[in-house]
Amino acid sequence: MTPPGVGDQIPHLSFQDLEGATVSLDHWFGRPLILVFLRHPG
Amino acid sequence: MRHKYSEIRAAGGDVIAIGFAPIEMLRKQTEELDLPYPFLHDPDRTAYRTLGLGRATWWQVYGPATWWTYARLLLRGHRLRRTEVDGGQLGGDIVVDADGRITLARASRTPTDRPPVAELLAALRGGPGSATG
Repeated sequence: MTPPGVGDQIPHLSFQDLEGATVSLDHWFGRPLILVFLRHPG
Repeated sequence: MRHKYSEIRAAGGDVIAIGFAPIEMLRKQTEELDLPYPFLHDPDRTAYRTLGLGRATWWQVYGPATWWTYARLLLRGHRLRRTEVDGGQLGGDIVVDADGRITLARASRTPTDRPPVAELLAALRGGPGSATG
């Protein structure tokens, strides 16, 4: 599957917050966002 | 990123960091770094796969470019630590507008490949983005 690129709508994504609760990325929409995907905490 | 956070907020944007390491490690890292922005957990790396964030080769992870980067960090006073998480998983940076439309997509090609913050800020402000695989 080809990943989304510039101009595409980002897919619906869910994560856990650091308390373990499920949160949707949509929660932060309404402002532009920089999503930083980390490698590992080294 | 943290040192540019006020500029990002002034531009009306925000930052979300996402990691896949065990949540205890992420909590500790957040506390140690005193990050001002949210830190989310993607334990099974669904988002990494969905967004096309790939894997590094053995040579990329353990080759001279990585050692050079770590040497420079040590010289600047950074503290390195052993990690037991998957060192082959690559990161990346995605910028979306207020409606969730992607304005920049950069999947790291090597462990140290990250775009300059200025490039992320330009995409955040609606400037030209770039898509690389």
